[in-house]
Amino acid sequence: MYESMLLPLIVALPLASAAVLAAFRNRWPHRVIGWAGTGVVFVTFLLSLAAFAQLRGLGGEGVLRWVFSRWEIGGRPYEWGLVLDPLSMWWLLVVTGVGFLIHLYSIGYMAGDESYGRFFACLNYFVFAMSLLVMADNFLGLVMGWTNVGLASYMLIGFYIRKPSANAAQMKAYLTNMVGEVFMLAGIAVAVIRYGSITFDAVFQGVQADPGWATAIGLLILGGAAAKSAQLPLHIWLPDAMEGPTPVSAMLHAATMVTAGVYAVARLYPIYQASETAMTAVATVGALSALAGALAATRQYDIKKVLAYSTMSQIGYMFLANGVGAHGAAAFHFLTHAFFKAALFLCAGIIIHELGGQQDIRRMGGLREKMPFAFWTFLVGVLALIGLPPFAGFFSKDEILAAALNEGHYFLFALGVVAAGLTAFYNTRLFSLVFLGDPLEAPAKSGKRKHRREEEHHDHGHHETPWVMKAPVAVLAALSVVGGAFVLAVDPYLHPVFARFDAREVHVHAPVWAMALILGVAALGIWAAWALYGPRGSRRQAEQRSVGAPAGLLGRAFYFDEIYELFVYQPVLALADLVGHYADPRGVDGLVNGLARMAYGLGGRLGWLHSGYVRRYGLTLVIGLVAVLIYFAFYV
Amino acid sequence: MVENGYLALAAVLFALGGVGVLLRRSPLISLMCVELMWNAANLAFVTFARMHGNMDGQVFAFLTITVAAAEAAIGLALIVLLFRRREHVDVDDVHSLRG
Amino acid sequence: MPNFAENLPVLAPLLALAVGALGVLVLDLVLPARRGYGWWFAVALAGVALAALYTLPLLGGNRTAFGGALVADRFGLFFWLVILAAAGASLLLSLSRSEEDASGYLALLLWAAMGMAVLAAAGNLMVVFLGLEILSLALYVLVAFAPGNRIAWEAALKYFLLGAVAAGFLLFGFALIYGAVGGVGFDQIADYARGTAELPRIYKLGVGLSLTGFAFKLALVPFHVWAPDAYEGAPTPVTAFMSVGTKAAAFAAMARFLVAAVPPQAQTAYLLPLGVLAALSMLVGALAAIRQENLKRILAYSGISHAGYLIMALPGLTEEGLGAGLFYLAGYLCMNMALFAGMVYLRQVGEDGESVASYTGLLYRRPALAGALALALFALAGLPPTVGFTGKFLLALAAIRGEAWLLLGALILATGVSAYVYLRVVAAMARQPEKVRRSAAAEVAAAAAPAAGEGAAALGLPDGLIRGAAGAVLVLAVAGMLLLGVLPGRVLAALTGLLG
Repeated sequence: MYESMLLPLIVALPLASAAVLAAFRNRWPHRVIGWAGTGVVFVTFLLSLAAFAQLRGLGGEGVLRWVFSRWEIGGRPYEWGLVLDPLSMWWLLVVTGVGFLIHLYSIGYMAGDESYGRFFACLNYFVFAMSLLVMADNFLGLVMGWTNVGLASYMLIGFYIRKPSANAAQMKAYLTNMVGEVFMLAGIAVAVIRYGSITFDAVFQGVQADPGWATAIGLLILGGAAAKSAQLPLHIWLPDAMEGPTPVSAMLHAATMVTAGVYAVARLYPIYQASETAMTAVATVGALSALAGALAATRQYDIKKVLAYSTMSQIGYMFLANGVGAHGAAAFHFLTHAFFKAALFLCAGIIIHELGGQQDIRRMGGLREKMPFAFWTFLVGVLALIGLPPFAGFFSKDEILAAALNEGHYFLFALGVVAAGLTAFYNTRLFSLVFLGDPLEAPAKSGKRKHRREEEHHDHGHHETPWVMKAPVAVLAALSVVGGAFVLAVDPYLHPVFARFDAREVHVHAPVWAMALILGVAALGIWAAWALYGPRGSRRQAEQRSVGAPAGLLGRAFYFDEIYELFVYQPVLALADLVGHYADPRGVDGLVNGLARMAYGLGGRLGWLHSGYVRRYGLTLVIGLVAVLIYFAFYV
Repeated sequence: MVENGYLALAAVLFALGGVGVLLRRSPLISLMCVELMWNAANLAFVTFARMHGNMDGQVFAFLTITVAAAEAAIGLALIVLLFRRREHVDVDDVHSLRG
Repeated sequence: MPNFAENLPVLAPLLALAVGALGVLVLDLVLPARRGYGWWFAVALAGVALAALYTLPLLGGNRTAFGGALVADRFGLFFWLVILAAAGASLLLSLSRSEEDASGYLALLLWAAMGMAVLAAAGNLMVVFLGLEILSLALYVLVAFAPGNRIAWEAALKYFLLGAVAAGFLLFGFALIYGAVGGVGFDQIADYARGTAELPRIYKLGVGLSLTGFAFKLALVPFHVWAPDAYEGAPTPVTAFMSVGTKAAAFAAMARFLVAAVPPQAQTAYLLPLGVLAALSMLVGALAAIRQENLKRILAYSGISHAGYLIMALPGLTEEGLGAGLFYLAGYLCMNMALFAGMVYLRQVGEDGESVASYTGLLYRRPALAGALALALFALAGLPPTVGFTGKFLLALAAIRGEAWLLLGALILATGVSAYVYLRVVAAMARQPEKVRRSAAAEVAAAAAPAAGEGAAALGLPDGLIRGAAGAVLVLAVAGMLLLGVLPGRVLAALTGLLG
């Protein structure tokens, strides 16, 4: 335990910067705002590195912490502070590091936007919120970070405030996450009630001999984690969240924020370790999401939506890893995924930018010559995502599937392998439609979507890509190539965290036949996609000629939106109607009225029953009184 | 005990007042019914004061009577307001606030 | 004959309020409205400030006056401060009143505050009834105090009739308790409740009747029916004052009453109906607000939910729980005042400020104001880093300690639902402004027409002063909200200190 002043700085710096940028967003020139916002995140990254060095200096079991506020209720101490152990360090470095690169990229991408200042203020605020989340050492801090992250996401998804679809998307994301949060709060409430403390350690000690409650707590918190991480069945908001600017999609909805659920499950692993059911639930949710996301991605036309479903699928892998006890593999896949998915999104941003706002892959094609830089970096990203050696994705995905196999989850392993094949399929399709072959026609602006401000903003035809946009992509692509080397570091580094509560030693080294199987399935996927959508593929022409939104079971992503519309949205509205219009004030009185009408039918002409309004209120009062009095007279 | 009779009377008066508020449409009568409820309480206070042999209940009853006077003044003022706006007075006419 | 000078320190704040009110009325006679208008407000504000000033030295210790009839312990004094803050804020928000009858309005407001203070410091049932009636009578009239507004007196009449019935419940309950105990002091009741093995049924019925009386003032379901009407009908500053002040005073009195009257061995049984009412209130308040289109009405229903939340402080009747209740009340004061100040400000600059639709695009027209209001709405929804989150968290802890699972479940459900209600308003503020500009302009024109018709502008105070006062209330409230939300430690320690 070591008090470090770096911790509050890491949190406070982006927050202060967000406040300053928000205050001067319309006064300072764009250049100043962009570089100031980016610079602050860079400094935060450096501070995180310093904290990393400090933590290394403490040795294996060391933890950095800092207490902000301490209070006592009824003799019980409560603390609110920050803490850094290897696990949160791992996340913090990615958040600030990748965050910095994406800030840099945004300087170029957002150039000329009228709300430039607001964008950087929000982005800085997000860095603050995410650091707060990963540095929490108790449930209270976790919830605080969790909610702030949700707010940041809300503001950034709806960044194009004049666009109705963006408003709808931000509301959808927020409400879905609110549903998850209710579960999560309930889980935390159960834990706090049962073990009488809000600190992680006390709850971890408590669940050791308490598997029944561990199951309940674990499943409830899984609900929250699944909503934040876009896992089945609470994933519906993620594809719509692509309404935000592309750097936001890269940062929040691919690289960092959506992995908060993975972090929460890894952070609370003793709860899950204590319950076989909860573990299985995590693994199943993950494997099914991996498969469903990959399936849905095969039928999307919007380049960002392909990547969005792909994110859902990849995070599914991370949940699967957590669920089979390979928490290190989950953290590792989080890292490599952050590299290659951010690279892919930023690259997609460059393409959209250069094509003047075009996002439909049916209108692309043959971009290889026009955009050689995007071509090569996208290729690296795609290969890493498919998981071919020696790219980073290979090592991390392989570890996860191997862990599932070694733990005896053969069915989940099979699901994962199928999803890997589909991953290869949709990536090849995407890559081929965008970069190879011939375009159907000259990339004209589609008239249908003229309200999209992202298009308006890029409306001046072909754009040159400035170096501030290219440099981050290059760095991320390079990391996607060599990031696999972290495989040597991850387990020893995180071991002190996961060894504390006697985590099962999960073997993450696959037998050779399994590795061969995974690669073989991937090759099959690539081949199939090439045959269908390659430059001379049989489905390519038909695909490019089709118009409109994707349809069918996969195109609509298993009709989840429609199902929620029917079974959740409509009933809730009906209930609200019921309560708002009939329940109150006719409500509680509505009940009374019902009783009254009943009595009317029975008793005939009792004039007072179709009574006036004040008197109806009075009747409500009297009935309440009678109920209370009966209770006190006979039951106390 | 004689006191029990008084208490029963108080309870009956209280209930009568409550039912009256619910049944009568004129705010004037409603006000009178409310007064009946209050005075039922007063009767109970005085009865109990006699039972316990201390003055607290009687003081309370006097306080209530004073407050009731003020209450009636305000109630009547509000009803006069209502009268000025309408020909006749009926609490059921007053229902533009709802929902 | 009790020594009057001995009781004077406790009485002084109450006297300051009463004399302030009389001062305004006298001033009305001496100075005609046209010249003295500003002075009326000055005197009223001075009365409140003086009351606060007299309250501060009392904080040092627990005093009683008039043989225990008034208990100025630190618990009660905290409520005095909340009530005085609410009164001061609503006075500042009332500056825009421009009618000749403002002197009566101001006097009634001060008297209502005095009634609340009496209620919060009551040491026996008689003083409870007295305080309750002072505040109710003043509020009945205040609710009607919107000349030319038909719904105002309608609301007043409903509030009056139902309030009188509920006072009848309370009174009869007190009579029954007196019958069982033989005295009206809280200490006598406490001795009786702890010293009697088998409490008679008449006592239990008395407690039940009294609880419904308190529940009415707190607006707990199903005794809440008056609240939405009265809140919507009343002038905005009065609504602001009622929603916080009445709740605080009634909560204080009910807490005192329960601490005395509930025998410790049967606590769970006695508090159960209250828990049911609270759970109902949270849910009905949250659900009914979903479809409301008027912000004042939304706040009325939110007040019903929040009354339910407050009850979570009661289970177990521990110091810690009541501390959380105090904390939440202070937070509720800030959130509510911020929103009402925003409404008054908007009205002053010619916007509607009441219907949710009129908030569309506010973020672009007045970003700072919209930001502050959004913060207050977030606080009502219970999001960090505002006091809404911290307060709910502490209340939830209190409920957990008291093993009130029903309340906890209702809290979680209601929080989820009400988040939608409040965020809907925030979303409206952030919606596209193009369309709105036109309709806002139309609204401004519409709002200007009746204002011109009244032709009372000659009486009003300078526009800048009114807006400045509303702005000041808003800023203070938001600052308080954040301060309580981020540094609960300090404040909570101070509050627990107040109780111990």
